[in-house]
Amino acid sequence: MILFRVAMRSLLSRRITVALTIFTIALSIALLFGVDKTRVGARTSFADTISDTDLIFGARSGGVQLLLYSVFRIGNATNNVSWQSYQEIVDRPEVEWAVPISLGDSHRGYRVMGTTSEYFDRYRYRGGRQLEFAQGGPFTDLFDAVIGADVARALDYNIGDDIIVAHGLASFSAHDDHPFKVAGILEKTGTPVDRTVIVSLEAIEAIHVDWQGGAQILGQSTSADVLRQMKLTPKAITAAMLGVNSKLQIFQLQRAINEYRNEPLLAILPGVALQELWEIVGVAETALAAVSAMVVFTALIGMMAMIFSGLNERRREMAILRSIGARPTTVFTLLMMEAAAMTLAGIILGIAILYTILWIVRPIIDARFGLYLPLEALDLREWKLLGVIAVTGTLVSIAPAIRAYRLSLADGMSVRM
Amino acid sequence: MAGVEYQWPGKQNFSISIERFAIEPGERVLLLGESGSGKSTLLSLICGIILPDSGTISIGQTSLNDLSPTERDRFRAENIGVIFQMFNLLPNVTPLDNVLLPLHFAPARKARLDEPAREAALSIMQKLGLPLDAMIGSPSSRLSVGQQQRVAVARALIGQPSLIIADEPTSALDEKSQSSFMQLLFEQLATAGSTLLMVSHDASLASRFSRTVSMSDIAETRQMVLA
Repeated sequence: MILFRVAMRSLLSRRITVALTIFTIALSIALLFGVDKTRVGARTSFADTISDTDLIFGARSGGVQLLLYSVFRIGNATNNVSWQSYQEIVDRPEVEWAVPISLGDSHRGYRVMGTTSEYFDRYRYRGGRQLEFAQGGPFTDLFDAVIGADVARALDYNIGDDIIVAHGLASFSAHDDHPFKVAGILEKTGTPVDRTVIVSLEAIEAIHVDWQGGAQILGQSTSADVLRQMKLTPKAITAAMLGVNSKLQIFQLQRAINEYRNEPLLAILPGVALQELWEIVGVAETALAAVSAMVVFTALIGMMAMIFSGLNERRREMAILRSIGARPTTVFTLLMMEAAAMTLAGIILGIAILYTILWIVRPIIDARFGLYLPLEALDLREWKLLGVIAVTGTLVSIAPAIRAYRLSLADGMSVRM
Repeated sequence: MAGVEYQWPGKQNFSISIERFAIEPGERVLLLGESGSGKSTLLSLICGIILPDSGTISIGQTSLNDLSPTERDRFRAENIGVIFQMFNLLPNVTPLDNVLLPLHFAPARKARLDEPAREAALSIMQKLGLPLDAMIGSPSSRLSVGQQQRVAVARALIGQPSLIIADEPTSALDEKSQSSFMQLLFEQLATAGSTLLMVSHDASLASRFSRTVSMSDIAETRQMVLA
């Protein structure tokens, strides 16, 4: 205990250098664990985005691409699926349910998705949770829209507010002759649904009735009442989510879609495509984790340099200890103890910084990027990682401790500089 | 010490040889010597921190030559108290911990105490006239020179080591302080019954000691000035 007090007093006497070293270690640990928590949060958010959907199909492209644009609203489809092909596939005996989706338009930066009311029943996230309405309900009129929680909050929309849909994703043309009314606001899900404006498939057809080649036909604007009377069967959709009667039929149906002769289609299992996505992202994740680990290692090396640089000034202290009976191993232990204390302080401060930052930026990241970072206690893997850092921090002091040991042997009771 | 020869490793220009040097138990010996005469080397040899290249060094019935480095460290901690020229307290550590540290390294010295270590340390500090409140919480660097002297004496004497080595403890003091320090030291030595070897270049202290020896009488040192 008295040796521990000596070590702590010695650290206190160099408080500025020691504080800076501890702060460097703390920041590096906050960075390492911050990257890890973001990685885990991103994976969880992605994995939680869709569940209970057996297959997704769309125009033939890559599996990851199909998953990204149909579920995560990232990127665009290379082609559409004709309504006829969609009908033929959903009429197959294996299909229990099908929800078509049509993407392409936007509203103030948020994707507009056309679908059927069944979407609100069939879309499941976070292990089978169903969409719930915070206000209002599904669309009952042709020009009703249901908006995600983030859209409502960011644009301060309430039930009954008007929404003008823009043509395409980055277009100055708007379907301002046919405004939508907010009929429902969904509860927060932590998925891309929060950042989506959902309308009916028929509504997507309706707002494009007077459009040709990406532009409105001059002087032509069909009234809303006329549109409501029209038969608005879509010509094409972007993708569709499917549920099968029996899990045993998934691969059979997938093969049938992939071999569909009338147009090139691709069916994917969401979980498998997600796994492919992790394999692609995994390299970047590993690189990021490696850089963060190197930052921690650099901070620990900085601590070693700090101990090294202080050794000469501390030769007198070591000589005093030797003169009152300390063995060279005591001097060695003392330095190890100091390094362990600094590493431990760095770890505690680092974790405190991490959780403070997480607590502050969590709602911002959730709102901006739809990334839900859980504020949970450290798990076993993270505790083990901290253990490794603590041990490494103590071990890097071996080199200066050996030097101190040798100096104390050479100096004896008097310091010879 | 008999037939001792020592040369600092890697320092070809300095060596010391001592044919014979002995101190009787309970003696107060003043060792006079100029700077560079090998006093510090002699003290390191007596303390067993360095071993002679040849010859023997014994304290009581124990030959330091026969002890392993660990045993020598233990022997030094248990049997020798050292007072330095600048008192050499650990500046960041409290005075109390400075006094307690030798006991941590020497359980036998601790065993010689007839009360718990902390109480014994406070008791000896009190006898030396140190204000106890300043001994517990503040670092030793905040003490006055006079207080540092007393703490150094307490650290050397606690647990009654058989040999006290004092390396020019009065060199930085004025005459008055020097006199009171010596009085204090001798009072405590009388209580502990320890032997004293004090190194100094101040011959005026000789009257206080039972014997005075000169480095030049007991040791032959060789120094070559390298071009």
